[in-house]
Amino acid sequence: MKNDTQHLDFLISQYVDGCLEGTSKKSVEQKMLADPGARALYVEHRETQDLLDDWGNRIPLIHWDEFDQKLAARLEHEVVGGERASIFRRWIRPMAAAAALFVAATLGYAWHALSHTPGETPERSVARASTERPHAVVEYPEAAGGNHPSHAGVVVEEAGAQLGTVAGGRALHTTIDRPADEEAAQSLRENVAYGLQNVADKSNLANTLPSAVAVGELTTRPASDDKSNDAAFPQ
Amino acid sequence: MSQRLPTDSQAQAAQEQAALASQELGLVLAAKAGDRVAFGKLAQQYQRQCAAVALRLLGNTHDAAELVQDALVKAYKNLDQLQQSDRFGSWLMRIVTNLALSLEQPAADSDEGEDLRATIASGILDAPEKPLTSAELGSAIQRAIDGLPEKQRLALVMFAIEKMPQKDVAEILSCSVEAVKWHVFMARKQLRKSLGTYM
Repeated sequence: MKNDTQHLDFLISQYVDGCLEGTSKKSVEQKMLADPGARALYVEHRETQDLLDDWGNRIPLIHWDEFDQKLAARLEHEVVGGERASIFRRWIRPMAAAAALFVAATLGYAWHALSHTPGETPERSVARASTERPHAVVEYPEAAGGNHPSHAGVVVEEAGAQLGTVAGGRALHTTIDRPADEEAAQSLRENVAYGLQNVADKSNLANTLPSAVAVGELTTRPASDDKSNDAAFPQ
Repeated sequence: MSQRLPTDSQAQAAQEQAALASQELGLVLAAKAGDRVAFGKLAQQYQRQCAAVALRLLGNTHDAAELVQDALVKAYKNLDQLQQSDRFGSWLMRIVTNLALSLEQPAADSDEGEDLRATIASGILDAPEKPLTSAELGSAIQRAIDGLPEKQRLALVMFAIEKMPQKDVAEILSCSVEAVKWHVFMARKQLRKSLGTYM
């Protein structure tokens, strides 16, 4: 009996919601016509729903123009910002590597400038690759400034692993030694070349030479004098 | 002849609905490809309904507007996760309701929330000594709705108040249409019990 009443109650609820059609709808209407209890159930649902409809007619007082502008700004800031961040992450490592190599090249040149004895005749020579291990030899005529035998150079490391060595043997050449791979060697070459070519005031390099620098995961440190390196720099 | 008019009218309505759905699908696909203008049009299409539902769930306009903003940004960021591109509206509304429920979770878990539920369940809300103002009645309804079980509340708000199609509500609630009808039925019964003294 209780189940029957609850079922009728449920049907009347659907009737109020307009969810009944055809025979189901007619059946409920006939029941309400004949049964005061069914009519009472209908009134309960109808009153409650009317209350909800009245309450639901409150429209949120939102300034939609401002809302749209704010949303556009947020999408621009958060989504485009995210894309920018993604691009930044994608390019930061190579850019950091380039920056580090530029610094390394600067260091190499500056170190050479420090050890240069004024008055000596500049000479141009190009280091030749050692037969003992691979070398990339780069010539920088615009960096000419002396011929003094230089230091062992600068070691470029990435995450603690040696990527290569930038060594200034003479003013006119820089040898990149022990590249981790050919791609790294090429990158090193290009960036060292860029670095040396873009040093505007080479005479000041000595004054700004730090003992080591770090950019991103790349670090540089002065290499200790190494006879095997010197072999690459014929005097 | 008398049978024919409604049929034509229904066919025309179906055609219009199909055209709108097709237009919306185009916007969703464009938005998925990164077109923010297309997404803006989608947002404008749904934001009012989202705000209305959020308002019924949160109880104040400012929070509702903020929530809809968050939901739209979240939707745009996660458009690639929308597998059925023709179900954008339901998907967005699910984000709105999930955010609303997550926002109110601490209160619902608190003793105060339990007390309110118990008060409403027992139907012992204080009877008004004078006629209620609209704001007072609104507040009483809001509290009564807040005290409903989650699915009953969502079904009531989306179907019985915001008049969303039962099919869409079922999709948002991940249940059957029959279950939506049942949730609405139970919710209305409970509201009647809770608000009986106001009616």
